[in-house]
Amino acid sequence: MVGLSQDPSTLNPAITSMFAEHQVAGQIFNAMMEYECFTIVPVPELAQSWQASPDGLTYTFNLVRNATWHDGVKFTSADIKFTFEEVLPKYHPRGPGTFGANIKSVETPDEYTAVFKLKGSFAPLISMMGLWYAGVIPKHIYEGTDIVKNPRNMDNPIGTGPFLFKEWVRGSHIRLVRNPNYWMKDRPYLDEVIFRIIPDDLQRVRALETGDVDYIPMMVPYSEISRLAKKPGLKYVNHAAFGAMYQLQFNLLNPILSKVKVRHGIAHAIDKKFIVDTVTFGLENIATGPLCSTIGWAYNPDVPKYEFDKKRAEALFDEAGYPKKEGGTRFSIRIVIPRWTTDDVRAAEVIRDQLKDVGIDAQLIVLESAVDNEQTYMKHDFDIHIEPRLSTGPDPNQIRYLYHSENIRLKNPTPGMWNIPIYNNSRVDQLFDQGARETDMTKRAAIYKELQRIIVGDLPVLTIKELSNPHIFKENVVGVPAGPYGGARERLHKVWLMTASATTTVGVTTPTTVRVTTPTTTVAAPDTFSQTIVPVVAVIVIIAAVWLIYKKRERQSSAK
Amino acid sequence: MGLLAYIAKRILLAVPVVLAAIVVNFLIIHSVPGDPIVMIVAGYETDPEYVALMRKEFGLDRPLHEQLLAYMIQVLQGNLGRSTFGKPVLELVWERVPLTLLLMGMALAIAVILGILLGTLSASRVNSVADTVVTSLSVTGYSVPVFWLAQILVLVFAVQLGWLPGYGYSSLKADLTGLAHLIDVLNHALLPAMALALNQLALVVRLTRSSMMNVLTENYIITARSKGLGDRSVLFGHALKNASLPIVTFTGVQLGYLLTGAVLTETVFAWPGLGRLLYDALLWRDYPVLLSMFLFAAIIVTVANLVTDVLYAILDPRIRYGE
Repeated sequence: MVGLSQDPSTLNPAITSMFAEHQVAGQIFNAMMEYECFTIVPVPELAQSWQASPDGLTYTFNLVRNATWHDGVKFTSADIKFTFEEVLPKYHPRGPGTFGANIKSVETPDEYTAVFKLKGSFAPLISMMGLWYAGVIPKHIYEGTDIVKNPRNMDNPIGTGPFLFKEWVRGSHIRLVRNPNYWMKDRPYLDEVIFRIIPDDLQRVRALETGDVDYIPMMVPYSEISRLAKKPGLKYVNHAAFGAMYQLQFNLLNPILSKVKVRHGIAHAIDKKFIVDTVTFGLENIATGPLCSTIGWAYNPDVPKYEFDKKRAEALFDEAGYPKKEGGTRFSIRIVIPRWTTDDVRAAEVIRDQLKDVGIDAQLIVLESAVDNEQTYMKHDFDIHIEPRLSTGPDPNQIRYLYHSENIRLKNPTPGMWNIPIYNNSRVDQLFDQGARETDMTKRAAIYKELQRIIVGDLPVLTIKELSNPHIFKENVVGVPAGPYGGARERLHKVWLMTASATTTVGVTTPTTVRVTTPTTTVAAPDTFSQTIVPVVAVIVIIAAVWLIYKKRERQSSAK
Repeated sequence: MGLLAYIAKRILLAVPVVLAAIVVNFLIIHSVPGDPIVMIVAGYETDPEYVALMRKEFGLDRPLHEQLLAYMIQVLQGNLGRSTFGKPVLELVWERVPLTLLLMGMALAIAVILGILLGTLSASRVNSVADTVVTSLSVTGYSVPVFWLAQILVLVFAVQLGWLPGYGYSSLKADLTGLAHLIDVLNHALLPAMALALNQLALVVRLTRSSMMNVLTENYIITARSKGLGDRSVLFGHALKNASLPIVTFTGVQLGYLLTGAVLTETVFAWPGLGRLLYDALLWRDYPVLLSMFLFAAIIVTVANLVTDVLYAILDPRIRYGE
């Protein structure tokens, strides 16, 4: 039983990039590749092996031979051709740029071979073939239909994955059962997976405590973790989420923020460690640059550092021509942030206060996410925009949307990510183009490392912290995918439940690969029960007492 | 004019009200920033081609008045359309109706029955300890926010005591059918119904108490007492009927509020009813579902008002309509 935060909007993995959707669809469908959950390196799935031509223009994939769709039809290269030519380039939110712009054609010399011909060399191709970007859907079900509105997206989806769709009671649960004919030998282990939909974050945690749910793969409130970690029978794993970062995007059209010294000053004025320690209970990593450290091969720790130093910050503001005026203020700015979670907003409040400390009159505007999107992406009306959980992986080419000048869409704005800082550096553009073309991984890494150095120097965006994705599960749940690419994003085909008798015979309680981070002890565990029940009783007693005294007085006075 | 003619007239009058509600709701919803496409891509990098294609797919590229006209024609034909995510709206709403009606019914029953009993008790013994306790509790009950109360109920009865289930509408691990399933569902409904009922209960208690206190000073009550009738007979046989008019009005009006309360309660208790559907549709800017939910709410409130007025005539023979 898995706790889920909301009903998926679709179970078709080829037309969405959202969490709840992929969490469920990921059990029903496969993709060409899966990701190793710690290193985020693509590993074979439907494509068992592949070769790239030396010029990087042709990729040949050898497909798995014993896979069938859940309705018994054989899976073949025709399904791959259909998915990558007809579906992904049009209907996936990132499809046009990732696949449409790069794939010329998919050829199918035989049933188990798919040959991708590219328009130009495009190195991120392989790492964009995971389920998140490229779930493979059946041609015989979808061909000739309206892909987006096909009823199979919502009922009885047909995939090749480890579990079969059984029922979906909207708002309550989704029930999947074991696929007895799964192409991967002896998998999955579980007979049934039920996703129980509990929208409230705290209630979802309570459901784990009452035993209604066995596993919560994401969205566990940080404030609950130190308490839950101490509970017997529960296990908790924390790791940096898959590339998502909390970041401040500067509007470079603002005359004040267009000065690099001001941006450097702001970076020196913000105490990232304080934010991580207090707001996120020490559960997150401090960010250093535009790429998340989990993308290890391309991540560059050797970038300009902006240590927390108020004096340095104030000096930089003075040099930029913004000395303190009467009242101690230098200039005013508006910080806009979407309300995803309370923790996101709290971090923004700390940032506002730290900026006030150095004389910046910062006003915080918290908006519902759709309104935020309208204000920042469509109207481009902000000074600093906080994007609390922007993904920077799996391939570093992902951040091209934010920094490459081709994505400046001031005249023709779109919702969703584009280069809203209006950052324009021809060297950066050039490096992004090279990085996308280069097939040699060592050379690619060098390109992205240089990119990170330049971007952190120019600082159109200041990253604050790398998001964590703690998951909590019962002690007897074994094989939970637990790396940066785990949680919501990985399949449950390796998960099994340990029974009491198995404990004694097997004796395995900790999967050896799990990295367990204990929460910092500086923060006291909030005991929600006593925190809430005591005030209630107190309030009731006080009200009753006041009332009784009042009545007594009233009776005495009327007796007189 | 007879009662039937009156009801017919009221129904005819309700039609323009509901139509106006559709237009106003449509305009309000579309003037709120964001649309389903924005919700799908918010916070992600997106290609402009995709956005353009999806807007076309959902008909959002057409001018607003065209969209409104198309929607009105569709509704008048009895077709509520399809959710942005594919399912027919009527099917989505219909599968949620029983569960929300169950919850609202239970909440209303708890509020009205318990409220009238406690209110009557309190009015018959003004300034006694019982009265003081009931009145204080009802003030507290009315002041407590629903979402907070819901959390407390779960903490106490589900987590600490383990007496009642705190989430969902049925036990998913056990395969229950027939009567066992019904009992299981009722068991699951108890906590959310309590949370939903408390505010209403507090109001019914206060209302019954003050209304009863007025009625109890009337001459006919003194007559009844002087005939030697017992307390129970006077209170429930004579006084309550006249005191109940404001309670009936109130209950009718409260149906609308119960639906609002259901949004919060159903979200906290993961109860898959209409409130949750509304909440999800709002998050996703699922226009067809949202509009249908508002239409549904408008119809419920209109019908509830009508039923209230008819009940008046039955309870108080002096009231005549249309004269």
